[in-house]
Amino acid sequence: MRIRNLSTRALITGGVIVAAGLIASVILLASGVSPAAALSAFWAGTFGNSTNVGTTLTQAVPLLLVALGWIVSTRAGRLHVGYPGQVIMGGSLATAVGLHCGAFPGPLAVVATALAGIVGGMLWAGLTAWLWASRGVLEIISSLLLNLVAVQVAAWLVRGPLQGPDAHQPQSATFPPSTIWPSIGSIPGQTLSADIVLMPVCAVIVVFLLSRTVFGVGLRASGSNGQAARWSGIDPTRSGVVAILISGGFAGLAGAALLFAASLIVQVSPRARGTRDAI
Amino acid sequence: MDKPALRLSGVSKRFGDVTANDRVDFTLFWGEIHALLGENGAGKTTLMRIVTGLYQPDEGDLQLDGETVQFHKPEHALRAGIGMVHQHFTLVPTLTELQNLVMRPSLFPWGNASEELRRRSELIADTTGLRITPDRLVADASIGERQRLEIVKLLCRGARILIFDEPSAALSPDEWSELAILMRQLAADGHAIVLISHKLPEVFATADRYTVMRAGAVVGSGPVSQTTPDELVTMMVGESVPERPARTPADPGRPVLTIRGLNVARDPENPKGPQVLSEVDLELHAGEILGIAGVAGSGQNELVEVVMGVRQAVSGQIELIGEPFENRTPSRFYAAGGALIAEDRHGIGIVSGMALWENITMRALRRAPLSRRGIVNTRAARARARELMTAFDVRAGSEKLAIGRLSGGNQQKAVLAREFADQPTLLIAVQPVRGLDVRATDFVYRQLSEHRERGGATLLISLDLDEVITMSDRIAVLAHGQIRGVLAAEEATKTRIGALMTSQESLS
Repeated sequence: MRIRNLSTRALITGGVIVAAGLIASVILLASGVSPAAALSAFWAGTFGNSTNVGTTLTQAVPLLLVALGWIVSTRAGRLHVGYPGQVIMGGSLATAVGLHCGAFPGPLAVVATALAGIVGGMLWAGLTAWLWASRGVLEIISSLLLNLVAVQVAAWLVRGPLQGPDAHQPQSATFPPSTIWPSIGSIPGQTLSADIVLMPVCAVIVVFLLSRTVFGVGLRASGSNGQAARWSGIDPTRSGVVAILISGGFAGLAGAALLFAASLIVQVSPRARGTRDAI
Repeated sequence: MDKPALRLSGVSKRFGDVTANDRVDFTLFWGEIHALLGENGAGKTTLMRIVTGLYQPDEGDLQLDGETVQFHKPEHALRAGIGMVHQHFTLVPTLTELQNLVMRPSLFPWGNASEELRRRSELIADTTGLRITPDRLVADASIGERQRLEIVKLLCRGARILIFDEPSAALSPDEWSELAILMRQLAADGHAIVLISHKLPEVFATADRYTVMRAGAVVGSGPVSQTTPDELVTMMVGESVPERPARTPADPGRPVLTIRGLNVARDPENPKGPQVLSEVDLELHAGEILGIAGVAGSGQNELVEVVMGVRQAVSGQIELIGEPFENRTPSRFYAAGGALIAEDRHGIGIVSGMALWENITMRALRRAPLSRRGIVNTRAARARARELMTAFDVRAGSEKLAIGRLSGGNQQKAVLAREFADQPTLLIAVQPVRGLDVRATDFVYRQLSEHRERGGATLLISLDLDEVITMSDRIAVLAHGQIRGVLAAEEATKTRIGALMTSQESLS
């Protein structure tokens, strides 16, 4: 039974990929491009050489961090969509801290920006959690609307407190070099950021948290049957609040990673890249 | 009566190592009510899921009207005229009854069949007497009316073979006798009916023939008129059920639960509004079982909620094991030595999506030795769960299975394993044998008796008077939120309890 389900699922997944490929091919053919050429360009662009592999992996880090946050929150039964806002606020606080960390030695500055990202995302997620726990505001609505607020806050920050030396540009100053997260030097262009270690480390942390801790068991019980959790002495509200905060922390860390990893030129801007990456 | 509607031959179904159905032969004739009997987990539900196309058999074949058929999904079976009335209804409460009939898989999704279905439901009402109220919201219909709608829905889709899965579980006795009459009418009309049940009086009152299943196989079949309840029970459990151990006289010790002057508002938001419990006084001692008798909705649920701290009381004192029990929460209740067998197993008792071991150790794993500094020792917790599974006879392939995949009886045994694991001082048991078969019921009763022998106190809340009378040392009668009287077991009869339930003023 299980094996049949598995093969059915594999077939469906495969079918979807094939169908998507076919549709894309038709569009490519219609616009006069050979699908084979497009596919090889696609491959070359992502995994074609070590520089591109580095870029692809580095860009996967914030996506995976946000996904881990989503897993924690969803397992607690709290379906919020505030990741873009939390990414922006994590990035903003990381920027604010990073700009003042120029004098710190490298590792300390890097840790400071990462922690600032986590705290920024948690604070922003905390609004959603507080509204849900104390006022009964549906977390999916409040987090969605807070995303819009976060964009405006970031826009104000880069025109005000965080604005750089160029008064005409809504941009922060360039980050001090010591705050830039290390990258792996042997890759040409240094595009492979060392923060890819966050991927396995954070994934293991989440798995451990959910399956091996008392808190994680309570969190899953709250998410799959809140009443049963409450009657057995677990506080589902507490689990939900902490889960939203944790997911905000992951999103905020993703925001910091977007800004400080493997890049010397990105500044916080109203069109923060996080918005696109997180939803 | 003599033309076979459905014939199953040599049907087998395995899930991993478990054989749910083992070469089952089953014949259903047109115009009969056929009772399918068996303990929880005997394979009745699996067999009916095969018949209705939810599962495909590993071996054997199905013949409908003498022709071999294969159902790959429920729609195929429904199209062939086989419909199932589920224990949990499949209706949308926010739609009207007619809209629920209209909502169905159809070839052309844009057609609106309401007028046609209105006519058809009237036709069904004329021929079978199953009348619905088309424009009423399902949310406003009673459970019995919903069940009727569920049947009409199947008939509208052309079902000629109807399968009832423990229909009386959700019904009041009146609603059940009404349904029994309807089932007879449907059978007289030429339909074939399968009645899954483990209540023997129902079977003898309605069914023409029976088939008994045990451990996945058919152990007996024949006309109901040629058997006796004892014979059927023996077939179901395979051996005679041991008698409950004879009662030692009650030896009540110190008070374990004392409730004084408890007042509880019906609506927690409005403490000054109507009361669901008023001036309730109860005293429960170590080593005794105090039964709470009363019709549904007399305030039993609220009493449990208040003692557990899930609901706030307006006034009144509660003492637990000699200590005032203020600022009540479920955690404090358990910490003080309490345990709960909840009535609503799926809603409160278990987390069906989580593993059996996690459910069994749900509370224990939050303390040493199963966890230290918040980290669970999964190996120790699983070993503990396996230990309790053996002690409480929880049958499952592995402790890692999701508890929701076990049969109802095994789920309840797992709940018992969890609640008795720490030798509680006070047990609150609400309808502890609801939906369980003979053997599982006996097991639960034996556990309650052993708990009493160990000196534990039990608050037994049940709607079943026989249960309350046979199990309790003293019986408190609860009616309209008031304790109408407390009887000793020797003087309690159904008549006396019934009189107290309906009396206006309270005895002492």
